[in-house]
Amino acid sequence: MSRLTDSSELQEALSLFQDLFEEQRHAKGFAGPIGRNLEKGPVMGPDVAAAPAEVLTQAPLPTVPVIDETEGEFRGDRLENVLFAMCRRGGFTGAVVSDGAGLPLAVYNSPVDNDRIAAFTSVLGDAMAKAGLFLEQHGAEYISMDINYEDKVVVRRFVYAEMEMYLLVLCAQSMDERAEVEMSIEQIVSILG
Amino acid sequence: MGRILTVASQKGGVGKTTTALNLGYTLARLGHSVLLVDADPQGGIAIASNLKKKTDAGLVNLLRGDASAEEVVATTRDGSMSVVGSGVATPADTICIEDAARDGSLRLTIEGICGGYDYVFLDAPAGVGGIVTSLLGVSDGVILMLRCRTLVLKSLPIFLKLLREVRDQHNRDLQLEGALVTMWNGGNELERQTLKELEQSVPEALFFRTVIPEDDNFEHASIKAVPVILLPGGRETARPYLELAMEMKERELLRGIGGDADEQTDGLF
Repeated sequence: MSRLTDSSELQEALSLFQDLFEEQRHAKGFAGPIGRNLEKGPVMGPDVAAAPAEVLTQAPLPTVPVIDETEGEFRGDRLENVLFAMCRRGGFTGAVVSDGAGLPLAVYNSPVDNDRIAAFTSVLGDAMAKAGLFLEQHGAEYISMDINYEDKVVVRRFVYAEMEMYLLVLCAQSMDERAEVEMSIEQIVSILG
Repeated sequence: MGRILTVASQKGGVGKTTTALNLGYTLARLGHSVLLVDADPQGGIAIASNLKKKTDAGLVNLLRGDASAEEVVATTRDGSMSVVGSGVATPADTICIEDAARDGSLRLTIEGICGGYDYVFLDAPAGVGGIVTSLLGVSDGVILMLRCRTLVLKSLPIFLKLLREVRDQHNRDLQLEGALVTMWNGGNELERQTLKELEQSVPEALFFRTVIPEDDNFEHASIKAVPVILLPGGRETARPYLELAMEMKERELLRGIGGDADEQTDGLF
C-alpha cells in the first residue's frame, strides 16, 4: 500500500515541504530531530529501503547535527552542555553544578538567580555534612526534597580533587533521576579534570 | 522581544489550542516568560484557560482602542504565564479582527503587546484566511499542527503555499519551526502507515520527533479549563509537551538562537 505516493495532493505537499526545507536550510540552518519518540505507538526508524525511490532522489535526508557535550571553548560551556544534555535525556527542568561553597560553575535553566541557587545548594550541602556530625554516618551524598506538589530538588555531593562539589537537579517528583545524575557526574569530573 | 510563534493548521480540531496552552505552560514552568494570544475568533485559548474569570476584554478591544494592554493581559494565578483572549463576543467582533488583519492593524497591535516575553504563542484560527496571514507576517516561526489523517494531509498544500507566500512577500524571517503530529493513536494501523510514509518522504528535520498522543485527559483538562498537567494524574499526559519544549530548546541551541533567555528567567518560585 502506498497511499502517499498515490495522492496528487500529498505529492504536492511533499514537494512544498522540500522547497521550504531547502530555503530554511540555506537561510538559517535547521536543527534536525535525533529520533522520534512514540511512547504510545510503535517506534519507527526510517525505513529507507522501503521508501519510494523517486521521492528519495528528490532531496536527501538532512545531516542531523549532534551535540557533543564535551565540546566547547570554555570549561563552563562544556559543563553547561553536559547539564543541558542531562536535562534533555532525563526530562529535568534545570540543573546546577557548584563548588563546596555553593558557587555555581555551570547553570542550565535555573529557576531562580544564581545567588539564590548558590545559597540553597550550600544549605543542602551543609545538611549532608551535618549527617556525619550528628548521625555519625559519613556516606551522606544525596538529598531529595519535594518543593511543591509536582517538583523536587535533588542535590548530589561528589568529590573532585579533594574538593566537595554539588550537582543540583530540579525535576518532577515521579522521575527516577539517579542514573542520569550519576552518568553526568562522571562527565563533569572528566571536564573538570 | 522574544520569539513569536504561531500555532496553525489549515484544518480545525487538530489540537492547536491545546498545544498553545500546554506548550506555553510547560515553557513557563521551565522558567520562561510566556504570553498566549488568542487570535482565534472562536476563542479557543480564552475558553481553555477559563480567562473569563479574569476579564472579558481581549484582542478585539485592543484593536478598537477601548481597552489598554494592561487591561487585556491576564496573568495566571501562579504568575507564570500571561494570556490575552480574543475578546470576541459577537459576530461583529469577528469581522473587526478580520478587518484589522486586512488593514495591518492586527499585526501592529500584536507587536505592541509582545515585548518582554521570551515566548509569545499566537493561537491561530483554522484555515488560510487573512487573520492567519497577518499572524504569520508578525511571527518568527510557525508550528504546523498535523493529524495523521488523510483529509488533514491532503489539504496541506494550501497552507504550505500560504507559508511560502508570506515568506516571499511579507516576512523573510518566518521559519517553519516544525510539524507536530497530534492526537496520535499508535494503535491505529492506518495512522502508523501514514506517519511512516510521511517520515520516509519528508525531510526528517521538518517534523518534531515528539508526537502528542490522543488522550482523554486533554478533554478533561478542557472541561476544567486548565493545562493538562494541573489535572490529578495529568502529569504523564503532559509529558510529551515537556519533551516538545525541550526539543524546541534543543533546536534553538543548535540554530544559535534563543539567546540569553535561559540565564535570565524568573522561575516558578
